[in-house]
Amino acid sequence: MRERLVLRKLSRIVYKPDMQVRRLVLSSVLRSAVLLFTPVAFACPFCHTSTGRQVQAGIFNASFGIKLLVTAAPFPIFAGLIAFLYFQVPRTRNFDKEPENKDGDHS
Amino acid sequence: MNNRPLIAAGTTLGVGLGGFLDGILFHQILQIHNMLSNWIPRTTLVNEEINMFWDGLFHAFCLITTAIGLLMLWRIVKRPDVPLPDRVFAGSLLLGWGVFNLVEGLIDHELLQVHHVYQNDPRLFVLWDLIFLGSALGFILFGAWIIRTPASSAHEILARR
Repeated sequence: MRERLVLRKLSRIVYKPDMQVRRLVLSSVLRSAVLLFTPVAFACPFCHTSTGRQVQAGIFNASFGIKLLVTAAPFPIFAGLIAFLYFQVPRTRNFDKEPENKDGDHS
Repeated sequence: MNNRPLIAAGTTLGVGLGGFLDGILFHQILQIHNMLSNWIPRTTLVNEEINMFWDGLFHAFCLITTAIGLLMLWRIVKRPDVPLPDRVFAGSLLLGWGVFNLVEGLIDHELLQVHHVYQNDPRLFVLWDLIFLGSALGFILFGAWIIRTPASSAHEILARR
């Protein structure tokens, strides 16, 4: 009787950690499996999901044109400023002491 | 000496690269604002996605600007009448970055208010917007100074510091 008790206690000591590991592995596998079937928020503008459709509706609506204009607004001004730099800014002085070549041959 | 084509090309590249820097650093890495984050608050996944779409369009415009700048530079390289001093190109890049910050800061942040530089705290809207505009003026002035200062003088001044 006493030997059996000792054996049981020993077996608990020996097998307990093993059982914990098994439980941990099993629960991890089960949780991972559950995650595979949970709804994922595919939210791209062209995704055929509920969230995707909301995104699409938020982009392609009546205010699309205004938002496009707003996003592009600074760029025509950049173009104007660069055109001004190209055509209107006076030539900078020749500080590099490079000889002027009337033939336009720059070497 | 005709520096105008190089200044125009460098400025165009500076505008495009400045836009990319703004988009990559502020929109994506730091995530302190998005293109329309003052109009569409980033409080839900859907709104975040919508802002991401407009960020993408903004980046597309920056890409087009950069491509135009590269094309301009490529044409200049083949022109024998246009000199290619390093300081003029470097100054033009800085000038372009400053122009981007100034125009974007005035139009998007102040006039249209589609977003502010630091969108996460309304108390700091004005402060960060002003810092952004200040940086724009700094880049423009420094870029213009580099372009207009003779190479030897610029080296002497920088060596003294």
